[in-house]
Amino acid sequence: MSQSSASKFSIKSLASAGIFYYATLWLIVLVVIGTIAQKYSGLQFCLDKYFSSWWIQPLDMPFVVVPGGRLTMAIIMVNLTAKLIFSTKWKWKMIGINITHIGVMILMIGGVVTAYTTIEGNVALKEGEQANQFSAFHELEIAVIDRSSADEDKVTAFSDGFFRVNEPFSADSLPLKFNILEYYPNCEPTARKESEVNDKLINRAAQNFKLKALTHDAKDQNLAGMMVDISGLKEGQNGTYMLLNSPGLPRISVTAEDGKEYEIILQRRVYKLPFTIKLDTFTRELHAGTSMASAYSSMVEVIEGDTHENVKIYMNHPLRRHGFTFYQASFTQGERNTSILQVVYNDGESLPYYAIITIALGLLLHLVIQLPRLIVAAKQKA
Amino acid sequence: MYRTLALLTTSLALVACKKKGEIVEYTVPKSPAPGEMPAMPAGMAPTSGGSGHAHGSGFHWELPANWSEKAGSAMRLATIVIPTVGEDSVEASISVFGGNLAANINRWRQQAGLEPLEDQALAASMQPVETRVGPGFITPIYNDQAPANGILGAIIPLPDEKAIFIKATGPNDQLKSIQSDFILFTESICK
Repeated sequence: MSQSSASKFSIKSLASAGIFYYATLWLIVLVVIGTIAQKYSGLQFCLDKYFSSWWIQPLDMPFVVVPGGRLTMAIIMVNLTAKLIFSTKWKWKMIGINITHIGVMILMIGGVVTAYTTIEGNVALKEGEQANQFSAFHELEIAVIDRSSADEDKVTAFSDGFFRVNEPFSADSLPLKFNILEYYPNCEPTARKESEVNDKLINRAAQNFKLKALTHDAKDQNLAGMMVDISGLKEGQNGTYMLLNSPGLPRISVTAEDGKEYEIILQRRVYKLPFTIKLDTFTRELHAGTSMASAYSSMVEVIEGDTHENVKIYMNHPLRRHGFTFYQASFTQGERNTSILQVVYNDGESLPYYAIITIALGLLLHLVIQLPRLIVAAKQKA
Repeated sequence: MYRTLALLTTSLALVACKKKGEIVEYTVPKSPAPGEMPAMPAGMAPTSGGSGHAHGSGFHWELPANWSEKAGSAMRLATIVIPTVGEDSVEASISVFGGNLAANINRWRQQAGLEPLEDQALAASMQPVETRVGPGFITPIYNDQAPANGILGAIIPLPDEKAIFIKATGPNDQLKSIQSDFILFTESICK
């Protein structure tokens, strides 16, 4: 066999039906395992471990890996693309089927775009309040807050991609340096013994408590925590701090070597919006004779430059702007009502619609093309 | 086919990369400085100092002026009597028990006639506080539809999956009038 025909052969073999069958079979196995595991380890953890991963280490065994959901889907996508290119008969009477296959490819591309661009979070607004940012549900950040300005606080945030043990990180704009000693996606503080206290532990939480790792919570109610070494501070403050992602904890206040003061907090990752959203009023309707809500809605103002637009957000009527979708999720009552809007960003949100339209058109076209032949065959049978 | 599958799997795996860290800078509106008191109702200055200490199961606290204490029971460390407006008063219980914190707060919400909240919404409704035992939070639960059933709560998580729960019940307006002293009292709890 010549070299060129050997290379052609391997590329064409990417379109093999066997690859599709084995990969799909493995995907079914992953779905079954992930669905069962989700009952014990929580939905988000299982989505990340089984479906969004490239590799899985079964039972955390060292040196043993199997393909994760993302790698399996990538194999299927390469296989279907190769089939489309090398095995598809581009004949007039096959055009309907080919368009349908292209629709399936668009659906898969939409899945890829969604996997890599989706951000989900929420924003809580009191009546009269406005916001130009929201907090992600499943991502964390270490936020270093410079409060020196009278007008606003300046935040330098390190995303959870930095949360690796003994891999120090810093930013050019900050004199501080971080080195994570322990990080747990779910943990609980346990009392530290007197003998375990040392001068390196700086904040009260670190002195009084240590962190005990927990398995992921089945209801995704995880408390993330870390022990982090912070340096670049004035004398007496360099050392180990405990950071917990808990709404009940105050921020850590530190002073850098240059005298500048900062606050540090572990929080849900903040994303900026390309516009400002202001809650004018929140309305709650009750079921007659009860205090149970039958419906609730938020009247918001979307402010973009000089443009102000009033929009009502309520069930099945989200607000969509620049790829962001705002849903009415929940509320709290107090001196001023607080509306909680769920925010979803997805670059690929339109692709499934295009895919479905393409698939439907392809099937319709195939039916129209095949119809004369089917009619003739039916007549001959009769 | 198997050789192709292995080659494809390896090639794609090489493309996969670890999640990269990102540094982002942004600005936020000014937030209260650590330790700043929340806004108080007009005309209600905080009572400072304390009339004394009270004890229960190793925990100590300082009672604001005019507050008094009744003895506790097996589950309850103490009952605090808090004068509010005129001759009125409310009572607060101090207890230590376990259970999921969100579930306990939602149970209070249902007692006040409010619907339970998901975690994110619950977090938004809580106010952090630093006590001498450790960090905790204040949970005011006021239902405008049932103004007589207000709850002003405080929770201080402890090791061993337990927490100190302080729960004052009464009319919304009376609880709001004692909220600043309630926070001072919570901050004074120590072991």
